[in-house]
Amino acid sequence: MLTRQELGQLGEKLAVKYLQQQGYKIVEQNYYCRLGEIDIIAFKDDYLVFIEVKTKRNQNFGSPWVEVNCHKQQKIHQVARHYISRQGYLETNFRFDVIGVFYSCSQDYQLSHLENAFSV
Amino acid sequence: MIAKVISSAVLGIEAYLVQVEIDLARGLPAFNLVGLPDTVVKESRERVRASIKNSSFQFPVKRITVNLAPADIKKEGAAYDLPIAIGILLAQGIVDSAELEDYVIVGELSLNGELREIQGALPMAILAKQEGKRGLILPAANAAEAAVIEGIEVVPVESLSETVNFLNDGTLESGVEVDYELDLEPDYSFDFAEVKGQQAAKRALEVAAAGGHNVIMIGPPGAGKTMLARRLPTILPQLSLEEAIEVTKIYSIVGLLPAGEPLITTRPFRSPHHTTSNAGMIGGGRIPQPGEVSLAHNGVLFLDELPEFNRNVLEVLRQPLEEREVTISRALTTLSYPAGIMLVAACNPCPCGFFGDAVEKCSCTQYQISRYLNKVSGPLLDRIDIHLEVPRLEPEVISRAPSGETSAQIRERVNKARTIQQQRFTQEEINCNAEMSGRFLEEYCNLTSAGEELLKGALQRLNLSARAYDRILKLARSIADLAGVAEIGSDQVAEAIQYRDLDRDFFKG
Repeated sequence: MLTRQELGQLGEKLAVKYLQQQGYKIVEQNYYCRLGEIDIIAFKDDYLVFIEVKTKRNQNFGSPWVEVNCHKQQKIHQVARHYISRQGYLETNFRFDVIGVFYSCSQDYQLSHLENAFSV
Repeated sequence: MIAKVISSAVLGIEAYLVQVEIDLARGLPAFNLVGLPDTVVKESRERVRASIKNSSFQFPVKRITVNLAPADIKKEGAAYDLPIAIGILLAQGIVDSAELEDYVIVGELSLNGELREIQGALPMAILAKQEGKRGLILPAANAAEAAVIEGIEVVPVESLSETVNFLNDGTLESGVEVDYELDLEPDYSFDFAEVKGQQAAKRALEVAAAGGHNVIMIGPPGAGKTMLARRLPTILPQLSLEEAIEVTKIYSIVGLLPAGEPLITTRPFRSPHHTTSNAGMIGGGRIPQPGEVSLAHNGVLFLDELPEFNRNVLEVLRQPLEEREVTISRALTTLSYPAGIMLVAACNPCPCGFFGDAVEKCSCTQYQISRYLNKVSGPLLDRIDIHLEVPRLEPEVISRAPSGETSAQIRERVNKARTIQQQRFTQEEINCNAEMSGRFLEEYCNLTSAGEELLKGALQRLNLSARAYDRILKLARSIADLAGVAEIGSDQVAEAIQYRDLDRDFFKG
């Protein structure tokens, strides 16, 4: 049995693989600052995308998207602003995505990608 | 990427242009609305987002800033939904901008992209014409209302996608008929012929209609006061086009326009309950909305059970009765609404209702009676020219009396009298006999010697005041106009004296 941390890391790995297949260029993974963390920062089609990955074992407690609530959104937004100011991006489009992962075993998993999941 | 769409909003009874500016910028996705929007306008963000998506257009992932100019007027209502949505599509290049500047765009969006009715379409159409715009794009439900104004293209649309198609290649799917044929012939559901008996009261109302005089009717319960008052608008002269537009504008901004009636051609009849508040009577609210006096503009305001009204409410009527408009000041803004009304009041002669009745006995004390009648203040009564007693009818009169003249017949006479007045007052700022005072009375109310003699005698015998003298002169003038005579004779004076009951001792207690 995987621990919660291991499950989360596994989900993020699967998400990175998926994003690369979709033509995203991964800019940053697990970007930390004292405000919090962003799982993946990727770039595609003129958009710099901040991605939150949520992994679950089953659907018993609802969709993984639901977990990205208002509080979490604000958190991500803060970290994103921190990142943007550090990197000095000015003329760039930004977007926030959420990727939900259902993980049963290494052969049986499902990804769902929600583009432009929220704006603040 | 900046886009500009022209919209409109209503303040008071006049519309003004609102520039809706939209900027799509790079940055963290956001949707900001500036330019003093109220809650309803702010919520349009969600409606716009959903309706753009559900009309199968792309909602941009950008930093969207919407500005409503002029920025210093508080924006109310949902009519900005459509211009904001069009502006966002314009900024993305989905809409062709070539002709957009020529149109004023208004409309409330539903989540699926359909358009809902808005308020104030008529003033907006008038404004669009004044500003030299080519047309007005608005919800189909409002099209007929706006089509009353000639010389402007009215484009009725039913959805966001239809609006986009129209702007891009000039096609309209719904094809709502917007041709409006002007028909000012009023269509009332009541008629004076339905009132049996009460010949004296009918005659008095005819005089009131002819001269634009305010009336108070005094009579026991069940005498037919309400029935008579309700039929007064039917004998008033037909509304002119300007008057009809004035009335319709007020109903348009409060959203009271009856369905299927784009232009109100009947004179309004408002009968507010006696618990009505000040604000309900003359208008009010944070941004003042018209009250009953404005809704009765160019028509009849009927106050049933006059003494039961809150004293304050009656006092606030004094200014609008004099000025024919009402100015309401609030912290946010000061607005004026028209209030050219004919006041018709009704009351019982005493608390039990039977004082002076032929059969039923009155059970009130003299003190109760005078207290009851004193609830109506002198200054208000001063503005009421005709005091009319409406007695109860005997049962056999009700069953036997032939139905009298129709409203159309009476209106014909009233129209004649009004024409005489219009000719008389062409050089003056007043329109009808009721508005005469001081100088006008001397100038236009010439008495024959017989008339003068009768009036002098009456003043002495009935102990009438100077004020009553003026009223009698005015009334006599209207009666003379109905009869088509230039000089006021003794007949007219005699009739006019009858209409001043409350000046007599009988009611003074």
